Amino acid sequence: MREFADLRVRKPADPAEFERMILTAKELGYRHLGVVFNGDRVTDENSLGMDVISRVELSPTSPGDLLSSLRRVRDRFEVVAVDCSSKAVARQAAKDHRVDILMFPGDLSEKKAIGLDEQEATLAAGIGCSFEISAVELIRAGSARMAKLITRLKKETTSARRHDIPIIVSSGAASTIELREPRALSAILDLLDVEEEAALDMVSINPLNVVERNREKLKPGHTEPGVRRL
Amino acid sequence: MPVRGVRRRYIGFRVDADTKLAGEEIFEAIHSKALELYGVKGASAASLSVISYDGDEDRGVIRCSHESLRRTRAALAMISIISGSSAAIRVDRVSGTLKGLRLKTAKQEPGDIY
Repeated sequence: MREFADLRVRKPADPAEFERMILTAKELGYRHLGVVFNGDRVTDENSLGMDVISRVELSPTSPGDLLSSLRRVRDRFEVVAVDCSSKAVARQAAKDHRVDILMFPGDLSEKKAIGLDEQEATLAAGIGCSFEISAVELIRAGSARMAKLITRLKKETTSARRHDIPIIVSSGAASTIELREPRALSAILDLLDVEEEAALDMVSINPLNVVERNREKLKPGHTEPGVRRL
Repeated sequence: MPVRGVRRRYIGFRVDADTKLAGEEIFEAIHSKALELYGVKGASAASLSVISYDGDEDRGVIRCSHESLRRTRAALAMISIISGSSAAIRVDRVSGTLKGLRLKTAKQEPGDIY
């Protein structure tokens, strides 16, 4: 039986709402929840039986900024995602093995919006970086914006799949009401012409592979994949 | 033995919303979203129809064609506002018959979602 993971949930300020989110996610069938901690990671989180995965999202303004942020956070969080706001940042993120997930801004106002193109896809494929789609951006969008977003995401998913880059679909929820069940998230990918089985992998196998790989890296004595200092 | 032409799926769902919503408002939102995402042709192929809605428990059942199940799920998932209130429609169970849906719902445990 599949184990589902929602790798991107934004922690609300109200602890009671956060507790409700965890309970709802559990009820919806998730066993793993990636929570965005943008400050220091809180270790004594009341996880209510849910596997809470610590995630940080970096929004660097330049490649140098990205490198210094990565040095600061890499060994403190289980998942590191980078919001690629410029071409230069996207290129740097796609070739740095410390980056787990590439995200692209949902801002479509610019004529040439930043997205996962062939060059980044080639670089990301070389280091095993994943590409993430946040369902909340589609859900919140009005018809016109949604149509544009679907066009862009279709291009990106095609690029990612051509280069065997794992795609992750997460809710991006900031409240209980924005959470969606795993099969709903995978059904949304019907809009991007992704087949059902592949879409289900994007909410189960693909995110769990990222978490498993990073938990292994964070264990004491890890030097590189397959090598441990005893 | 006669075979029914169109295979159907019954979707049991529940509504999570800021305010209490009427069944008509919910079904209007489902139809509108299906139309918005898949157009008249797609919505017509889905053969969406309302089976029941319990306003006290915020639970209902809709029917769609077997081939449009994923599209119907997508339409339900994409709903975020109903009559001006924040809302989410969550699928509890899916079955090929109403009887099957009721049996599955009765046996359902938390976290046990189709």
